[in-house]
Amino acid sequence: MDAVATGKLVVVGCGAATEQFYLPCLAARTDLAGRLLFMDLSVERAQKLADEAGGGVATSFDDAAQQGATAAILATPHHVHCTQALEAMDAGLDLLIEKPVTIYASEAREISKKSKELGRIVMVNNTRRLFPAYQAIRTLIHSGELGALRSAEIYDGSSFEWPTVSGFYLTSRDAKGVLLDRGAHTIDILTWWFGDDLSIASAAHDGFDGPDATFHLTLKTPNGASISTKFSRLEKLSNTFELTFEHGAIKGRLFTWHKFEKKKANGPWKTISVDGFNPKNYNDFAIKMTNIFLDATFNGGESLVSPEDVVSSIQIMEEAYNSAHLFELPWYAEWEAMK
Amino acid sequence: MSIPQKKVFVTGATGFIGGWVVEAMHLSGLYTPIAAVRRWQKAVRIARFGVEMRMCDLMDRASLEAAMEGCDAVVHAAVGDDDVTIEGTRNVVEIARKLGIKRVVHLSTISVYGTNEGTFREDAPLDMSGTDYGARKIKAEQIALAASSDTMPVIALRPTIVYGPFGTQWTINFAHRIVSGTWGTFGDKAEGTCNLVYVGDVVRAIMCALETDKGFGQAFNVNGPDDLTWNEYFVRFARELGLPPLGEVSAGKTELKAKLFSPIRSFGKYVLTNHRDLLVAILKSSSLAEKAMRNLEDNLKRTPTSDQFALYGRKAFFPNNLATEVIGYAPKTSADEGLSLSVRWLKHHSVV
Repeated sequence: MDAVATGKLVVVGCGAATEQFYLPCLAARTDLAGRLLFMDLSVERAQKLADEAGGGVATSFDDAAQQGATAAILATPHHVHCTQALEAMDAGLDLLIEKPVTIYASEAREISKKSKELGRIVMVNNTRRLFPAYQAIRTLIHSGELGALRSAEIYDGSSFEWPTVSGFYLTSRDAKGVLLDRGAHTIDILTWWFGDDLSIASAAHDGFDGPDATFHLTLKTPNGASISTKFSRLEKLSNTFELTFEHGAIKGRLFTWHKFEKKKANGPWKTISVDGFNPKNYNDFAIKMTNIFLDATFNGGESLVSPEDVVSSIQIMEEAYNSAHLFELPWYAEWEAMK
Repeated sequence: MSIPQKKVFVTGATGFIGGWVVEAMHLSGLYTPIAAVRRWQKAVRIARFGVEMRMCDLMDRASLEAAMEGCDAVVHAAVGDDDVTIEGTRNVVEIARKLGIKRVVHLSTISVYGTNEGTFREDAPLDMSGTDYGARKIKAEQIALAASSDTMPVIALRPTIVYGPFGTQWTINFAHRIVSGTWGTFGDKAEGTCNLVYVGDVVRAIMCALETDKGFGQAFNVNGPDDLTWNEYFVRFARELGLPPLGEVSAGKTELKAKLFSPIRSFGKYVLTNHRDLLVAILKSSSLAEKAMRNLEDNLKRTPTSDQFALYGRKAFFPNNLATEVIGYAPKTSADEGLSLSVRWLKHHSVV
């Protein structure tokens, strides 16, 4: 008979991500009844979620460990991920970390190093890697059937609807902006598809003295192919991608996870439907990722998406922020000229 | 020695005009804007400037009072339903008076004159029978101006058709219509006066109203420098977008379409208000339904409402001579300049 896992799970950060993504998943798992703890800067908020989910409250990682926790979900603002992850691992916890895993690549590497030293499972919630269409595209690219990439265009944007409780994304310089938010998914997928050796050709944003809402980033592959990305939190963009290769092309919609279009040379576009996990709701991918983590930490299942897997995308975004310049925005020129 | 900048509390700071007020104040360094924010999600635009944002609700006096604390002046650009527009204005001016705030600029509208034709100077009678929006703005303006005193002067501004970057109604929507290829000129039906004013000029008028030592307790029209018809606006907009010259389309057919779509708009509004979750579930479960909905949405966006169509034919003019004489407002941005900036913005944001 399999041993029944008894370790507790502490959910750290009781804001929008926890309410929207994690609670529905955790509440549906009867095996976690009585095994949930909640931790937040606001003890009242942690207590509220604990009451809703039938769990307890922890005041620190050590406290959580003493109460029997062996795993944690970090659903906190990204600038505290590294410090919290290191503390949590020291306290003996496995981790699922909300994306982006960190702001800086050095932080992601530090987490990765420590996880190996201590033998902890650490996963990152880069959910788009679970899209069957994205997985099939990766296989197709790596098969070489379409040849080398010539160019790519990706548009990723919609008005910001994240029900942030703290306002962190809009009030803190550590939030950085739309690239670190939406880009944490898209840039990760690009490195997953095309490799870690993407370099920055140009980067521009509209963050004057606060978090940017529009970011245009052009990357280059080692063989010189240009990957143009546009991100926005202000306007709905087409949310599409189009990849042109030597011997064909691929295109699709960012959030159509079960199909894409492909053509060979000058042939017609053909729709490729991909079998696999095909939920109605995007949130279901976060639930699936959480379940993969819970299975890995409590039942010895296979883990997915480590900090090491996403470190190259974090590196790209870090360099993009370091090298980016402000867009020329002529509609503001007359006001700037008055300063 | 540096002179401390005036701290100006801006309501409606996450909206089109209020957002511009915050941005222009910050970029120019002329004022320190304090942005009133009700929902963080809506603050993405102004957050880019790192300005101070204070969470509050116009209908929650305690939160509003805490947010307005320490400010020297208020620009009241918020608008909403009856409650927010009317009682929200009452809350703003009453709390401003209580806190000793020294100036209130209230954003009103030319809709207070109703929907008749003619030349409307500031002494023209206000018309409650025009539109619901106009009626509630009359009440709000009256509350604001009645609160004006020697210690807290209030000035109301009545902007005309405000267009420019971030403008939905008269900029983004028209861009979509013109780019769709189904839009054109409408003969006599769109020979009404357009009364375009660039949003930057409205901000200039607001700054004049913050600084003037005259015109207290009065309202002023805020119009642009050009005298265009709606047809001319559409033609110039298309030209600026780099499109072929607009042809004339059948006004009769468009008018009929506007009437036919009226019940669909009402039904859509009802469904969105009362059964949004069900609608979202249906759209997610059927790509056919999603496609049909997208087509309908595009069609609705491209089709004016009956009220809008009536506006295009209306010959009404709102001179701003009084604002020029009393508060020193002078519009600077021609329609061509304003449209050029608007189109550059539209393209930058991939709206077109």
